Amino acid sequence: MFKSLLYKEWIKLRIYWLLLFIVNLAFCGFLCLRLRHVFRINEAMAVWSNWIFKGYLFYRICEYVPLLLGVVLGCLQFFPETLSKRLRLVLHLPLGESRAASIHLVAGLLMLATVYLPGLALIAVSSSLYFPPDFQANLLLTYTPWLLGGLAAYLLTAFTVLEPTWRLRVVYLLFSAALLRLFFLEDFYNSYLRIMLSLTICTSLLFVFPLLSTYRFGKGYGS
Amino acid sequence: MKNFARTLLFASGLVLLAHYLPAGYWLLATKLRRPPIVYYSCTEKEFMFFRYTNLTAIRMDAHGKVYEREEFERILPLDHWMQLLRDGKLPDAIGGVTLAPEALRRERLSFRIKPAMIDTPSVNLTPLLDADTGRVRLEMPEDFMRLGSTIEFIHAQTNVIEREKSALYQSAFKAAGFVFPATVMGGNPSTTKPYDEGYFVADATGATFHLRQMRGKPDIRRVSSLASPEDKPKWEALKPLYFHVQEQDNREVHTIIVDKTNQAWFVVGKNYHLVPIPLKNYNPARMSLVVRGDLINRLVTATGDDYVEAVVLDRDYGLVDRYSEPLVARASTPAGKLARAIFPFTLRFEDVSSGYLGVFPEFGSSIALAVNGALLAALLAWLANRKQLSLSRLPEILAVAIGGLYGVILAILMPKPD
Repeated sequence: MFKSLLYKEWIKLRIYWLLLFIVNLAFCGFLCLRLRHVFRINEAMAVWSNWIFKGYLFYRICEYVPLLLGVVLGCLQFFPETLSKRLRLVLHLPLGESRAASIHLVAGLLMLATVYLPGLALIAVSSSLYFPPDFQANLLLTYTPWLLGGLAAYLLTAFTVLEPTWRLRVVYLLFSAALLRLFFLEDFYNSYLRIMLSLTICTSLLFVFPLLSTYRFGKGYGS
Repeated sequence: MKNFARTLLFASGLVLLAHYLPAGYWLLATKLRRPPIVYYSCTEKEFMFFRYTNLTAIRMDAHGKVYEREEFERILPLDHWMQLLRDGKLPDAIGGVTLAPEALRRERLSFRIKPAMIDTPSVNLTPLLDADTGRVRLEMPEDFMRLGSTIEFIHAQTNVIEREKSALYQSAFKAAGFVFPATVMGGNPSTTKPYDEGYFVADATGATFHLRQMRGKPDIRRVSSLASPEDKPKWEALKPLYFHVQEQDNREVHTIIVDKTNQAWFVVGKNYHLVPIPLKNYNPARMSLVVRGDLINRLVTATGDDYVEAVVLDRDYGLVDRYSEPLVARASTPAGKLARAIFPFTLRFEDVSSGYLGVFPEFGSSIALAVNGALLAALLAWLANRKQLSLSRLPEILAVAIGGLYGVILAILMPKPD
C-alpha cells in the first residue's frame, strides 16, 4: 500500500516535478555562470574579501527559491485533492487517515528534496573551482535554513490547503507567513549556526500539522 | 496524534506571538533614547555631555549647566579644533602643550568595540599584508592565510595552497614557540590605513603572539618576550578573548585586548606595555567601548542599555578622572513597564550581544503573572460554565497559564477539540 500510494503521487506529480526540477537546475546553472562571470571581471582577492568580510554570497539571490518551490509543490499536490474532495477516498483506505496522509507528505518531501539537492550540488561543485573548502562549509551552513524553510513551506502549505474551513485557512496562512519569516533572518553567513539543530527539529515537527488538517477534513468540518 | 498536533500548534503560536506582538508594540511605542556622549574638558578639568531628549539635544556639564554650541566647543578645544581653527579661536597652547594642527591631527585616537564584534560569524581566512614592502602604500597580497591547527596560505586566483610559503611560516611559528591551534586572532585586513600592525594571535595555551609579514618573510614573536620585566608576568597570565587592531597615525597603541575576565587592556609602545583600562563595570557582551584620544588625554567610555561609565587617562595612561551614570533602561521606561505588564515573556532571535541568531528571552513583571492567573481563572470558569472542562482543552489552558494574552488569542483563533 505504501509503495502504491507513493507511485500514485509520482504519477500525479511527475510532470510538475520535472518542471520544478528543470527550473531549479536552470536557476542554479545561471548562478554558476554568474559566479564565473564575477571571477572573470574581478580580482579573486576582491571576491574572497567581499565574501569573508562583507558577507556577500553570490547565491543569496536564490534565498527564496526553495520556499517558492515548496509552496508550489504543496499547492499542486493538495489543491486538486481538496477541490474535488478526492482526499475522502484516500482517507477511507484501510491504512488509516494519519498513515495515508503521511505517505502523501513523504512523497512530496522526497520529490522536493530531489528538486533541491542537485541544484545545491551544482552550486557546491562550481564554487569549489573558485573558493577554498571553507566556502563549502559556509555554503551549506548558510543554505540549510533556506532549504529547511522550503520544506517547512511545503508542510505549511499542505496544512493550510487541507484545512476544510476558510476561517482557519486564513489563520493558518498568517501563522505560516509568521513562522516562515524566521527561516530568513540571516543577513550574514552562518548566522543560524547556534540554532541550526533546533531549527531542524522544529521543521521536522511541522510534519504533524497537515495530519491535523487531514483529520479535520476526514471529520467533515466545513462541509 | 491530533492532541499532539494541537498542543504543538499552541506551542508554536506562543513562540510566534511572543516574538511578533512585542515587536509590533515597540514599533509603536519606541521613543528616541540615546545614551549621552561623554567628553572631558582639558581646560575645565571636568566631564561634559551631549545629551539627547525627545525634542532636541543639549550640551551640558556634570552640574547641569547648559551651554550654547560655541561655548561648548570653546571648552572642548581638542574635540572641536578644526572648527576653532576655522573661526580663529584655537588657543596656541593648553597647559604648556602647543596646539599645532599637524600634531592635533596625528595624535587623535579613535577605537570602537561593539559586543557583536567579539561574538560574530567568521571564516578562518584572512589576508596577511606585507608591513614592509618598500612601497609607499600598503598592498593586498595575492593569498589568504588560514591559521588553525596549522598555518597555510591559499592563492586566491588559482585556489591552490602555496606549499613553500606555508612551510616557511609553519617553521617560523614553531621556532617562536607557538602551540597550535590558534584560538583567538585579531587584525585589520585593510589597505586604507597608515601602516600595517599585522595580527595578534593567542595560541592553544593562551599565550599572545604578534605576527607580521616583512618583505615576504614571517615575523612572529611571543609578546611576553618583548615586554619589560614588570609586564612579563601580566602577559603570561593574560587569557585574551578578543584583539582589536585599528592602526592610528601616531602608532602608539598596538591593540586593545579584552580578556576572559572582561578586563580591557591597551597594548602600548615598543615594549608592548600592558595597560589595564580602569573601568569598574565593563561588560563586553552588553556594552560598547569607545576610546577617543587627543594631544593631552585618552577618554574611554563604556556604554550599555542601563549604564555609562567613563575614565580619563593622561598621556602616560595614569587615571585622571572617572565618571559613571545609571541610564534608564528600556524596560524601566513607562512603555517598558507597560510591556512587562502585558507580555509575560518576549522572545527575540537577534541581540546586540552577538552576530549569531539565538533565542533571547525577556520575562514580564509580576503584574503579567497576575494577569496570567486572572485570565486562566476566567477561562476555567467559562469552560466549566459551558461544561467543556476536559483534558482535550489542556492546550488552551496551558497556553493561557503560560502565555496570558498570547494564550487567549490562540484559544480564540486555533481549532477547537472535537
